[in-house]
Amino acid sequence: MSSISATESDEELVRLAQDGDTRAFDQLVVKYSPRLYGLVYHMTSHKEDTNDLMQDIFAKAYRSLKRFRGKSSFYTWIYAIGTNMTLNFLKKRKRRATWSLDDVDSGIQNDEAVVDIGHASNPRHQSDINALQKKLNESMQALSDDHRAVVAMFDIQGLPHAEISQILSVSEGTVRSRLFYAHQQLRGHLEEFLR
Amino acid sequence: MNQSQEEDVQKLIRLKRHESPPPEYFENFLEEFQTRQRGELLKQSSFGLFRDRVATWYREQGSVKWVAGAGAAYAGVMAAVFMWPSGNPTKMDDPNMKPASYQPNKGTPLPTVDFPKIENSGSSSTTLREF
Repeated sequence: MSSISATESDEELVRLAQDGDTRAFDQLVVKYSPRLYGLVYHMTSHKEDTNDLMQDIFAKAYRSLKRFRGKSSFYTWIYAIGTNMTLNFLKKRKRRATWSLDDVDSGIQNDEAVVDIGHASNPRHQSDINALQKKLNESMQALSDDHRAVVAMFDIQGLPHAEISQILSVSEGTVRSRLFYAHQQLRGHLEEFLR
Repeated sequence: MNQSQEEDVQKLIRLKRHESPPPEYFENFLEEFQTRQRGELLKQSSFGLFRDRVATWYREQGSVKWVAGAGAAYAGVMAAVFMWPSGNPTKMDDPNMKPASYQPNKGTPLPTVDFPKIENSGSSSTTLREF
């Protein structure tokens, strides 16, 4: 059996996994689970649902791997699976949506945006990062599933428009328009935190 | 909404990047995934594995798969036509089995009905009919 180095390219890992090497697929899971977690979590707003969906997404990707022809990157391919499965899940779920604020790490304290808010003239903002976080979560929840997906991919995960359009199988114009309307809606909800 | 306002919104939304699970989550996630994957493989029946292999092989074929599919369908239809049971009665293999027949009980007399006498031109006798 060939050894797998940590620097193996996605193409090579996919090829090995297609040949039945489960360790190669494990490498892909390790590499992409944090990013995929971000996408699914910001779309579902629920930790347990995210975990279950992540398991289902990687299981489906493993089963479908033989069909992956490499026309797009593995990253785009698995993101497309993840987005479709999460959107389908959200259509069925129409129930609770609870955010887990305890997941917020300490990095938020030093984030440029929070520092900006801290220096804002309104003193209420300085001590109220949790309130901001709560408001952010509520604002995200107010968006439609499709709008939330583009916000999660573009604003939170930093994917370019072209890649989002490929993942969602829509035009770049549609991605831009969804983002514009989502930002407008978010602005309405977050008015008190914007200078 | 102008560009600067849009950027302000984006800046706030980007704060959500800080919502992430602890690092050990992903180690546990991989273990959970492997356990589940193995469990699924064990649960899968040999027929299921055979079906998957056939499906994978079929997907890997190019345009040949349509010809192969049509051929398999034709073979299936022909097999069904030839194997369809014909209208002939089936043979009874069990020697103890006999065809059903009516055996009247001879100990009990059958009811009789008296019909009125019919005058026939050719015959003057009265007919007593049994049922």
